[in-house]
Amino acid sequence: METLSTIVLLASLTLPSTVISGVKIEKKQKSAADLTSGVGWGMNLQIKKEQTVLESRVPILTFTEPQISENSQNELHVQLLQYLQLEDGWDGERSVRPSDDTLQTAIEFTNLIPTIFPLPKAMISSNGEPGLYWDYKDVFTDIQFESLNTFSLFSRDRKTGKEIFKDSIDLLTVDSDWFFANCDSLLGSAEYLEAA
Amino acid sequence: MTCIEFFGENSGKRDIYSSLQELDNAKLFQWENETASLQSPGPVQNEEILIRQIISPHHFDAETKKLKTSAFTDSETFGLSVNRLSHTTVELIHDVALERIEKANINAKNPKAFWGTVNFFCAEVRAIFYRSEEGVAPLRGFVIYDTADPEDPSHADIFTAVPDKAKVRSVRLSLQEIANNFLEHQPH
Repeated sequence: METLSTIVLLASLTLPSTVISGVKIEKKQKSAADLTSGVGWGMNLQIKKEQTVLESRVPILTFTEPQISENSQNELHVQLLQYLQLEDGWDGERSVRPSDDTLQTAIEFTNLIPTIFPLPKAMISSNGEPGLYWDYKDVFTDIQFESLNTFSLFSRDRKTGKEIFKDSIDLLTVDSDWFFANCDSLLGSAEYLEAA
Repeated sequence: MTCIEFFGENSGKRDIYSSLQELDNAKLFQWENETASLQSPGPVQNEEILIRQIISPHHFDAETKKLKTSAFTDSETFGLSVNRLSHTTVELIHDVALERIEKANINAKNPKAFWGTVNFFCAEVRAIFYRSEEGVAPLRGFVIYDTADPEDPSHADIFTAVPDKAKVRSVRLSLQEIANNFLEHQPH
């Protein structure tokens, strides 16, 4: 299983290279203290080490004046990484925190979205499953991450009512072609075209 | 097995939805006319207003001012808790929610807050269907049971009634769409 630190490091990889210069990417367990002190997040984001939370399993991420454009990839990563702070019971007694595996898969998925596609927003279910979604007037699409490197896709064309569902998609099969084959309706969305 | 026997055995379990799915579909709908709890004032009627408390800001999309579909996934596991307005008051629901959150926040590292409520019209929830191709009978998306407890006789649960993941996602979106018609932000 990939570690929490790997997730953070993977997220760092998506930021400009200057941000992470000098950081050696290691796939080994690190302590929370390593995480809070060793990884830079550039001008916009910083992870602050807080004495009160050092004993918790995951560090609290404190974001200082993010100043990032709305719905940017950075913001998306911030939203997903915020879910790491959740504890069991975050949404009622029987809710559970997300697993590191599913969050890592979600972050890796966002890194594969071709730039021509609109970016999704993040969500999380009370059972701990993170997801991504695009909610437009004429199309709704969501992705649900259920296990490491695996996800499902649901989409409804709101004009025709036509729905698509694909289960157990392997993240390794996702590339630009996959997006054009499975998410092309997003490119035709009136809202997206207007924004573009 | 009767409805009250089922919930007597399964109350408090994590995955009541799967246990319901093992039953005959007709029984799920028949049970809506029975009572699920000794403390219940009676089965949930179509004309009732059901109020769902939202305690996590993670479920709200601040840009579109809408709840995300993730706010409703409890119906696919242990039941989406709601209160029946016919048997309580909005004030009482708010008071109980705040009290519950206050209790949960003792020693909590990430304190919770009461975000607001969603009002459902029961008949509308029961009118959500999954429609596949033409010629195939539509499937009802949700069932609602009067799962009252001694401390909260107005308690009820909404459960997803369709069997597989594609249909579950479809009716989840439909529920989110009607929920966002009656969204009430209640800043604390």
